[in-house]
Amino acid sequence: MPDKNTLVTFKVQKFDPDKYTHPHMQEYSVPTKRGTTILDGLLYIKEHLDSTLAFRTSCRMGICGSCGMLINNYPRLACHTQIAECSSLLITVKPLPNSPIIKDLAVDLMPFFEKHKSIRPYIIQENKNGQIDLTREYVQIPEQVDEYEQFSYCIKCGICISACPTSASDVNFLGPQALAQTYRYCADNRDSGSAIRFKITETDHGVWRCHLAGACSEACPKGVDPGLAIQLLKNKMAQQTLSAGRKENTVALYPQPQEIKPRIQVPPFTAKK
Amino acid sequence: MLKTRMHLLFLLSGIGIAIFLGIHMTVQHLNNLLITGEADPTSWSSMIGRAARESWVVIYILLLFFGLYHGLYGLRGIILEVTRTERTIRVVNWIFVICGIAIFIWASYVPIALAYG
Repeated sequence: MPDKNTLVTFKVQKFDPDKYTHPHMQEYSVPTKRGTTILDGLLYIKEHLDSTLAFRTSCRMGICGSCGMLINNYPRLACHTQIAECSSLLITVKPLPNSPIIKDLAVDLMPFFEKHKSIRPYIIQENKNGQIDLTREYVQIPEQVDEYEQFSYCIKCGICISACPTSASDVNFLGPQALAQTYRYCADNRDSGSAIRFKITETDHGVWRCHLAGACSEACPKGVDPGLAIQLLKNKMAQQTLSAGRKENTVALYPQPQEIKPRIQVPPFTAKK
Repeated sequence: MLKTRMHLLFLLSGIGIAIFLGIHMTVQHLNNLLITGEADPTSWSSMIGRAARESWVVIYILLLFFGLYHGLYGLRGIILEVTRTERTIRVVNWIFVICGIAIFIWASYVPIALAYG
């Protein structure tokens, strides 16, 4: 366990496609103390030892999802992983697998984002005129929020697809993140786009390619449990195919207010002319 | 929702294999456990006698169908994971359909011929 000013060895994968054809590992000695995170170590390396080290970081508090990387062969958020958790004085840091490497620890997440966009990750709700009503709020009781709330915690860090064994062998697989978000929107009572999304996920590289390995749920840093979402999505699709599910209620709009409170009159002495 | 139906049939065939293979295993290999079990269900005459009965023909053909579908669908899933292009996927799908139908016709010929031939 690192104590005050313990020297920890960071073994970081380096790869500059302009200079090398293959990645290589480089070691750095980083002074650490209690509470130092992997991200702190990488920032120390960049500031004092190797300014060419490339990695992504932003919020440093586990909410933006930028700093996902393979730490001691396990995908984690660097800002959310303390060196003490690794129980070792040798920390191996590599980029997230299953995504092409741009440089060092930065991977290309565009294919991941494209898959996410493809499932239409927004509320699809149209009234009978084919338009969404922007003038009033939709009714949603707490029990209806509970149906999808857990899956809305996704921060799009890409850790789940890096852990997924199917994503490793099938580059066209939609992935646990996109499939979990499909369920998130289909389970939202404000949404009426299930039929559209089912067509998108019911492909040869869609939901039925998931073998329920569960690695995505284990690796997710926000407790989203994408594996559960995928199973619930399969359940929904099977129910629709067999026409066995209960009919979804159409979402109600909050009623117009019965009376409008009068505007508070501003006292004359506060109003400047 | 064709692919959903295919996957549901995959799950159903798994259950079917468990049931019909269970019957096969119990009657043919665990005959000592049955009170009315035959002395030697693996003998040629015993096998021919069973195959000539319509109920067993149905059991064999159902087991053949479920086993063939389950196995080929699973194998197709593995191959599709490493298949990139749409054209290759179509070729793979057609190969499995043609092979599946051909094997089913060939393998179901024997019990049908024994029962009705």
